[in-house]
Amino acid sequence: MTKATKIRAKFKDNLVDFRMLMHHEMETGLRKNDRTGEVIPAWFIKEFSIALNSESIFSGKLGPTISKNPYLRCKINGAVGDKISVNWTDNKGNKRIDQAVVKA
Amino acid sequence: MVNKNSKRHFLKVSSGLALFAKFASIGFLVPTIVQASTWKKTWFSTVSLSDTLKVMGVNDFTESERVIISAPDTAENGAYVGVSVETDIETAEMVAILVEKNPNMLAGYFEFSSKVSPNISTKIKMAESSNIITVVKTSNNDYFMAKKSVNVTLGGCGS
Repeated sequence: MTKATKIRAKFKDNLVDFRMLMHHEMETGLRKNDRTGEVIPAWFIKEFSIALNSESIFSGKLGPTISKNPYLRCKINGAVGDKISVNWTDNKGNKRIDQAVVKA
Repeated sequence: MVNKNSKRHFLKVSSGLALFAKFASIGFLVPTIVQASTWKKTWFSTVSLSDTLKVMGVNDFTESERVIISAPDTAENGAYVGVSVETDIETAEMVAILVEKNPNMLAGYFEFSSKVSPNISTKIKMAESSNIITVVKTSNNDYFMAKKSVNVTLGGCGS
């Protein structure tokens, strides 16, 4: 099971201050298991997209060199009450969609 | 003989149509607001700057002071290096973050619509002290670049 993406969206200075944290291991595929010496296979979020009121406004393609639990902050031209949804897919085909509402 | 030929022709045309329908259904021919090209392994397996720019389709770029990278001068833990990219270029629609000495250069490739102001922060891993390079693309297909060197005390890719 995957954990919910943490989303904070706050209206400030006429823009929406958007922050999110997607829970994911982001395994590089370069590390080895200390005991067995086997390479731990890569496991990371490949793509994510952010939608504002179901209009796609942001999309990202990531490699395994993005830190564990990928964090993103940006400023969005939106309003209080707008719905924001975050959608990601990892290299094993796992998917997750989470939603939040812009707060005052 | 005539029949055989027309059958061949029919097969050719119909398979072409089927292929077209398939591409259309995956979204190749459907225009979207944010150009969502699919994730490509080749993008994330390059080790040199010129190769990385080539796979991203960057032929020509300008180093610009209008692109600002904020990152620590010294990062104690290479597993979490906060990077933010800011630009006052209003037509910016893509930001890519590259790390020169990582096993694969491209860390993240972000595309956004005009509703997002080009000021993006994220966290990346760095294997060793190196330059962080950002490439910004505008809607006129111009590319701007900026660099910043970051010292890493403890590498964060292989550990």
